[in-house]
Amino acid sequence: MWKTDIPVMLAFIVGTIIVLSYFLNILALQVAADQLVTWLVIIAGFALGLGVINLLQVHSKKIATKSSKWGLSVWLVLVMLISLGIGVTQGTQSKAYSFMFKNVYTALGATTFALHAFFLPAAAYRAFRVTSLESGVFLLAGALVMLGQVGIGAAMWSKFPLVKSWIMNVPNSSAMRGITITAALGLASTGLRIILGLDRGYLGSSNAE
Amino acid sequence: MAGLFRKLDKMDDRILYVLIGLSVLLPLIKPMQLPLSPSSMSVDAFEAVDSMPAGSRIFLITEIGPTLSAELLPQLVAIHRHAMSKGLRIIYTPTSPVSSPFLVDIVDDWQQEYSYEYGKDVVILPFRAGDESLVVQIGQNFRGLYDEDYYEDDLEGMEIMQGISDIGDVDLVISLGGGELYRWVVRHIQAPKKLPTIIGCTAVMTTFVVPFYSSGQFVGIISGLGGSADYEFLANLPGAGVSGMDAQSLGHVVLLILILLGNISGLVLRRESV
Repeated sequence: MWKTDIPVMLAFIVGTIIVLSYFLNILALQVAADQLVTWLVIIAGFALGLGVINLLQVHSKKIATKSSKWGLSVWLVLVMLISLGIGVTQGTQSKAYSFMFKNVYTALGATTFALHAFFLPAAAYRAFRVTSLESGVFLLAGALVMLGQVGIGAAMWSKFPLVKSWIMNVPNSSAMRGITITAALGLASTGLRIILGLDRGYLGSSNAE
Repeated sequence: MAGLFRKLDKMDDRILYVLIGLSVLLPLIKPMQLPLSPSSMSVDAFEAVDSMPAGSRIFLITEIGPTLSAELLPQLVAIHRHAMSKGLRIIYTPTSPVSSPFLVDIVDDWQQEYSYEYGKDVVILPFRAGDESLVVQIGQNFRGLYDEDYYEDDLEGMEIMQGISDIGDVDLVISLGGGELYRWVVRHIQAPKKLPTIIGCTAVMTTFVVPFYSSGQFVGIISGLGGSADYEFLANLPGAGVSGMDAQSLGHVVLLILILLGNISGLVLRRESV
């Protein structure tokens, strides 16, 4: 009962209040919905702390059992504790924290992301092959949008930006609208299944029916 | 001839890396001054900001971080400089814990040039967790969510926040992100409050955002580095966007040539094997 019935009942009550608050202009309902969303923001804050504990648990176990690449786990835990220590003792606006953020985290994040500039063209060179009419249309549309997006395309032919705009605004918009509406309907039906207790996947595999 | 195509087909990845590296690096060392032709999405975004009377308040929500900064930081700087040069006011709101240092840097870096006052012309709100539920809360109970700024100073005493009891009291919303942020903004701020909204996004996200622009829900889109170059060009405030466009231009052309070569070699080898 504690692991299944009560969570399903809570999901029903909370879900119903939130959904009804969008459709009915009843003050009590609005206040209850506002309060629930506030709780959600607070719970999300706790989730960050839970993430830290989870990381520590997973990587402590890897270090203790000396499993594959356990040295990287030592490094992860060490860096996490150092940044946590500086953030808690000196504050996130301190010089030490800012130095670490700008010169370690930002630099590493940007570098990792920049590697896409090398890996993506190499992958495109090998995989982006025209083998059917569909892949040909896909490649042509991609090439036209790329040329319309940058100055060199406009320098080659002044109509490239217009062609790009047409592709983005007409075929792309039509297809994306279809996908968005379909996904929204799917999301609504999944939400309804959760509220009604028909979908219990969020309770974990042992409690799901 | 077939041997050449076979070599092309099996080209070492390292050669591709060098070609791409050079195509990006050379224009940065020696700019080509390629022409810019701003897209209608960028023009609309620029005009929405440019047409606002001095003193108007912009609510700028962002999830910028190190991985998104290559495309979003030039957009953020261009909007900040344009708004400050016109006497507009900005309420910065981070949705990611890594966004705040970027906002602090921007506000500090341009303060001397535009002589704006923190708390009167610009304010940075603190990070709050929650992703979509945070945006829901901003839409429903903005002032209940924030009572102090990033520096833990009381918002009540700040001139920029006077008269704002609800998010609907701001004049324009700008969302800068690389993920689902635009969707949350349209669901919980733009649609219920009917606020004019501009989206700044990474180039790869543009295809997802454009339908909302075509429908009139977004008044403009700043798309990737190209969008920031357009914005800088229109505002006559050249920055990282304009200077990075030559590199992006040449990189795109080299990529297209490589794809073309890959297709030609693949086609020849397929025909040979039949």
